[in-house]
Amino acid sequence: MKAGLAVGTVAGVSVIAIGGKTGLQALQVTQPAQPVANTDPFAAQQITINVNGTEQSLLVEPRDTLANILRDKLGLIGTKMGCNRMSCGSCTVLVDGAPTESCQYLALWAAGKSVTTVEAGLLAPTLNPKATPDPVIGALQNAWVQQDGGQCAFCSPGNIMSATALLKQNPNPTVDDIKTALSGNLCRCGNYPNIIASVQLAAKNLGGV
Amino acid sequence: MSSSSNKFALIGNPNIVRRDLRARITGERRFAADISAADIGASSLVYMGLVTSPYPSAKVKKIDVSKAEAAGFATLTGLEMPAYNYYNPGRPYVPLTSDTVIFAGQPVAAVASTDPNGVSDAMDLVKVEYEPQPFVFDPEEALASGAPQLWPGGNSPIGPAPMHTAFGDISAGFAQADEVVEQRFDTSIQQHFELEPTDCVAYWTNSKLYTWEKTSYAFGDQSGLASYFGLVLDDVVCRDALGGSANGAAGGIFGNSTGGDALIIAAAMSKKIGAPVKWVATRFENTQDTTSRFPVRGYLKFGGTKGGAFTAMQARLYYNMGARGGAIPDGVDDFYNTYAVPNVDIDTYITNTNSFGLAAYMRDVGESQCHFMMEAAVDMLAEKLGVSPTAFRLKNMRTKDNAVDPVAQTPYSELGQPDTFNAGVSAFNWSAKWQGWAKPSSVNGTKRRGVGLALENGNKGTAFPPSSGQIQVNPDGSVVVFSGHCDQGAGTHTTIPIMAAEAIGLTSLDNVTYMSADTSVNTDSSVTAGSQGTQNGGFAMVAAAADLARQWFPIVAANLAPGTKASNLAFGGGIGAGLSGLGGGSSNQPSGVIYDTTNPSNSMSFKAAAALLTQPLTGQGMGTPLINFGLTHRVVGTKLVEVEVDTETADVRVVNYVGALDLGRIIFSKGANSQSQGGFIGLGIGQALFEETVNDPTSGLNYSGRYLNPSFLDMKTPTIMQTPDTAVPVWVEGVDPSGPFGAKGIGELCLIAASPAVANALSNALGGYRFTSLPIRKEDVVAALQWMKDNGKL
Repeated sequence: MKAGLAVGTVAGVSVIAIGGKTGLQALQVTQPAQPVANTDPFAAQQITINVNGTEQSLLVEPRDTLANILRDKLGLIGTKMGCNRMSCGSCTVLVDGAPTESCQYLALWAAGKSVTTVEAGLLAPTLNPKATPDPVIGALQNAWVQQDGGQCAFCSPGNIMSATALLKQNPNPTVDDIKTALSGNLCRCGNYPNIIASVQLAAKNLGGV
Repeated sequence: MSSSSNKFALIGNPNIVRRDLRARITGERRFAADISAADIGASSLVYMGLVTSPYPSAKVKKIDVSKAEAAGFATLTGLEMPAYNYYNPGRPYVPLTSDTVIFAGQPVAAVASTDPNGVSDAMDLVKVEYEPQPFVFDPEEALASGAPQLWPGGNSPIGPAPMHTAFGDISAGFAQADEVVEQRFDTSIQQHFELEPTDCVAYWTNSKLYTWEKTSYAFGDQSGLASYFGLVLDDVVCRDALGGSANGAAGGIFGNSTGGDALIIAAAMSKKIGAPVKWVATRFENTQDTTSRFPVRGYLKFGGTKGGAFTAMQARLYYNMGARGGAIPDGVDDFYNTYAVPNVDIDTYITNTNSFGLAAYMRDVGESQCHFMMEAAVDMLAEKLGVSPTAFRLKNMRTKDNAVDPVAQTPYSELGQPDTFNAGVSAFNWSAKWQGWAKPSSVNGTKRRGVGLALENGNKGTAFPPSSGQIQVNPDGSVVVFSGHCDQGAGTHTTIPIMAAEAIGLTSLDNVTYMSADTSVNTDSSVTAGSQGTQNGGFAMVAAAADLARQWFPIVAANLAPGTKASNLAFGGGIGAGLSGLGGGSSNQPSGVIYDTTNPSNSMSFKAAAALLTQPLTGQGMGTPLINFGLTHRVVGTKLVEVEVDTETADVRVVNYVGALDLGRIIFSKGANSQSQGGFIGLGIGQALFEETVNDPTSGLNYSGRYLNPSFLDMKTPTIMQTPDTAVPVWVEGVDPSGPFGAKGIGELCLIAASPAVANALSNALGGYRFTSLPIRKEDVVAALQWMKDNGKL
């Protein structure tokens, strides 16, 4: 393999600069200021994110997305990437409880925040045995299996996370509530009737409708 | 246990859940896109990207990779890759072109970076100079003299003359007709847009090539790669994602397997740099570089009598197979197999154009395109004749009573008509909703509803090429099922274990392990596509069960009552004493035992019989292609739809849907249910109402011919908001005597007649206005509403 294939090439950095600047501007506008030790605005930064109940210290580039960090650095591949353009919903996670398409959410923005992925469900082998599994995600996963909520199931984690946010806010959703909450999550298998039935069953099992 | 037939423990059991769903939704199961270096025993991965042409037709003047190389990225161009004939015999094709571009998005160079973020940097550093050339998108223009030529032999893989299919006397047929309709129809280029993009990992190490990809046929990938690189099969190992005991997973395929170009390019890149190469298509690449549903244009002329007899069917069809597609005229046969018309004359032109790369399979091949035009034209003819859409179809549809394929001259194995039609009409409550031609089923303020129906009859699930597989019984009673069939959402990793377990009389899947596609572990499974995974995989399993019995029963007989003959033993439940598995007969004894058919009480439990084994025992089976039965195999159904149009906003909503499908014996009940509603909603509503890939047809502009909507944002697929209020699958279990346990294919049948059913319902809601091209865009609905106003109908 060529030596230069390693990270950090001259040409690579010149392109990174464009993306990095945009990211930092957005960071300043929309996020509380983070302590930035390095004066190079494009340098990788050490940040801490609480992921599924565990504090994770991570070195991230300004252009790294939350989806990339979760998948590539933490191995949490339950978060799927369908489009990388925030238009399919497969990468939906919760950031401080809010459903968020992690493919267009910079990792730096998540510094100091709490991120929940589908691995936090009762069924998943959790990263941290001490962490408390999320009962809503677990109930949705159980319901998904019973109601055949996924065919290829590539979209299921994103759908489950959107549904988690819904059920935490509204334990008794109507079909229209469910459709609205999940309208950003595409399922090409067309499994929508089963997805709706899965959310309804989970709501029922959690003590809602 | 009852002695009545078909007391299956597992087949059709509504309580069986999708076996790998839990793993897929918890982040445990790896799709190919999820594979890490550690998963394949490597220390790191290198990420690949493709540099593609923005032009649909161009000369490549220069490819300069020096800046990318200088920056430390790896590159690969067509100069380093030989041509191959994999898709289209006689037309050598280079996976990376270095001279001629024939479609927008054609790969010109590949780049690789150790940092996934670096891939786009590397792509930007490759400079390609093009000289744009004239291009042709229209299939009829492509066949005209003077058209830009894509290939030295002309713009058709079969030559300029059409394929001709005819019987009866077409002139006499039209002479008998009281009314004739003539209409042109067009369908769109449609993308699979499966959620997991096409992707693969390729690792060339120690003179062997290993690949892990999203695939429907790992063995096809293996033979294609071996052929391209001049390797023996044993030196190429392909897997469905991680495959084998790890079990693969594919995030939807619908016909768009990762085999072919990208896999070859990734393998060549790995060979060049000596590291494992991972490629995950961007959505842009997924539109451009992979396959598409091809559009069909049809000029149809149908004739019939006042009495409702369908006397003549003439069609001139243009299949636009894109730049590289071969002759796949599927759908032509649907015209004369759906209707028993005495006089038929069909010309089919196969054309190549610059409008997209490779025509291929997309949950049906040409069936839905041909059905759209056929079923819309049948409605037009029936309306002109003053016959109801149901009466005309009932009178003319091909049924099991006139069951010989008029061209192949072979009888049908099983044909569930008029059964699906009658069941569908009843479940939909058609007679209460149908108010007459051009009369909406209801009007409520600005909301107008209409109903429509369409027949479907396709050449799918033919179980070819044959499949092989194994069932291994371990001394502890556990069972391993070896089948290379992949699970792309159809439930195959549940369906095949159900059939294997049922075949040997198990009552539960608890101790059954499935080994999915891994060419180093399995034997050739055949392709998991064409609605044939269940049949193909099932044939192999029942044959494996028979082979298992041949080896195992002598051991069991020696441990039963003295004088027990092995030849009299049978598995309880399952396929019973016949062991052929065909047609769906089952044992009259309970599952979980091996028993003496001459004295059923002389039996032994499965577990006790397994304990007699001193080592794992494997039964090997090879399926029989259905073609060997000398029968014509068709999948048939009837789709009925109610739509609602808002006359103020032109919004269209499918409100109620009934799909009455002849699925043969249902094997995996939950999966069949999901597929039969999902295929209509996920792909069918999209094909009918939204989906088309648009090229800029303007010439003279720098970027003319480019794709204008290669993303989920610009080319919407159905969302949960399009879910009908009711979506009811109605199953007609017309047990196919030649299918394993009587099963037939499902995958494509759930889609085929979706678009004409929607189109006919829209016409019914909108005063009889006819929609003749797909998709039926909002602007088409606006035009229909204007036509209604202009004609005093609104």
